[in-house]
Amino acid sequence: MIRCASVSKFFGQLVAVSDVSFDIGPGVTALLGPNGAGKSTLLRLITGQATPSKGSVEILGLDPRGDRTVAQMLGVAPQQEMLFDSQTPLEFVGLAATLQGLDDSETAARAALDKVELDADDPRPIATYSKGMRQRVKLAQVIVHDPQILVLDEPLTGLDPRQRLSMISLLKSLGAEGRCVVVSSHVLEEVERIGSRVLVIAKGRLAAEGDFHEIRALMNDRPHGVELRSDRPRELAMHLIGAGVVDSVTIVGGLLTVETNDLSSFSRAVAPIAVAAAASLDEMKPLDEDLESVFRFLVGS
Amino acid sequence: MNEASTISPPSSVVAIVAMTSMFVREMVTRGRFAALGGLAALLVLLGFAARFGDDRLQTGGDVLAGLGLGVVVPITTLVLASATLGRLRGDQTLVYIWLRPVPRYTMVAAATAATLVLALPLCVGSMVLAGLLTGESALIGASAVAAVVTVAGYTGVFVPLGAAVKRSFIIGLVYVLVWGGLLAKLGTGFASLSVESFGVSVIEKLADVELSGGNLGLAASVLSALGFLVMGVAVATWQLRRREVD
Repeated sequence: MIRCASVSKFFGQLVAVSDVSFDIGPGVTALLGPNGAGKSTLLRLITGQATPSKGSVEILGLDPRGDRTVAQMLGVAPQQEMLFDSQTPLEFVGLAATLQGLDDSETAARAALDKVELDADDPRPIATYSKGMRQRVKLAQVIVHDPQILVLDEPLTGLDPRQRLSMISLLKSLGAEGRCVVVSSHVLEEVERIGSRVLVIAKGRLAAEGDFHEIRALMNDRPHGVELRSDRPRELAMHLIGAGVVDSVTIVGGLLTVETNDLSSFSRAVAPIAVAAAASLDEMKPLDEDLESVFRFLVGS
Repeated sequence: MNEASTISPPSSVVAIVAMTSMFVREMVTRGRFAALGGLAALLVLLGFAARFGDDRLQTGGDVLAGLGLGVVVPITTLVLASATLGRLRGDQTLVYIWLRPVPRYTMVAAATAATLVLALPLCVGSMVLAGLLTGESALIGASAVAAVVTVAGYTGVFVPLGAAVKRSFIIGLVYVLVWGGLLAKLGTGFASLSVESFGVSVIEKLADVELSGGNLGLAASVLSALGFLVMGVAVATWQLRRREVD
């Protein structure tokens, strides 16, 4: 339903998206990547808000920027929080329904607000709404015309845990109905719950793609750094190398830094090996476990 | 899933009415109208003061042209026009109308209509009231026509400015103060591109009074203002077509 072919986007010297190609079909697809990775730019290219510097984007075979009929099939929730603040949610979503060409825009707006668990009769303007409520108003204007393709930039930001679960289940049900739902996120755990298919974007490039389990395995199957503190670091290092559970070892003072490709085997083996080496194991600390380093690894691979 | 892709886009009239109403709602804030109301009140007050001058027609004409067409009308139109496409671009909410299946010109037409709907009553009302209070009947009709011409011309400048550049309010202010306030007084070359001159010329011709900056003919002034308005819609539409949207 969505096709990106060798898409790049430059802003002067800055390369925001670099030679990205993928196809997205029905169901939920998550775009995972750290902040500043180029996810929002990629979504803007998909929706036609921006023009690719190179390559092409197609939505159901049409050019999203040149062909206005794409707008009839598309629902978009951008990342920014601002909405038309002096309007009530019913007016805001009603305007979306009218501009999409729905005959009974008020009924459609009420149904959409109901789906995101907001009170359509709330007379307060959107200006008084919390971040989580604004996210739901944004989603309501996305679904009001029942689009085939939904593009949502960080839709879970600002939601409390209960709202998050309800939003995830709504997105999943939209995907299960055969719609193409594209959701961006920089939080790994969110993506684990949302997306069956994941596109990992880092530094403007497509770093990996597959279902979540494949991506998780790819993230685990990489060199892991572990820092160990011991009273006899040299003896401990020799035993670790002898047991074949580490790939490299560096000793600085009493601090031993090892690198291993199999973190779970290493974790099981390290205590018995320390006993065998008659070395104390005062501290053990994994390095590079944050999401950024995972992305760095994927980009480098 | 219903047959979403078979829903036809709305007619242009429906789209324009819906977006005009949204723009008007977004424009009407208490602070904005307190400031604009204060400006209008100042004009009315000075119009009243003009009746005590030696030459009521000349003094009244100077007040209406200098303060009315030089300050009140442009600032009011600028403040209101900036609250349409320019503001939506600035706070990144333009996307909520830009991504809908409606022609780009309908967005510009709505922004233009919303600006006119609010700026005309404010500007024509304060100009006519000020004209009335000068005690010179010739100034009443002249100031009404001049206000309409000037609001139309400035709307044609400020709406596309908001669609085209980020700091549209500042640039608009510079145009008003430097072009209208200084350069247009130097000669017809500058005046023919100064909206203020269109309005001043209208007062000059209709009330038969000589004013600074009114170097153009009546028909030329009216047609130029209308030309600015039409060109403004065209330029803003072109901007919305080519521009990338946040």
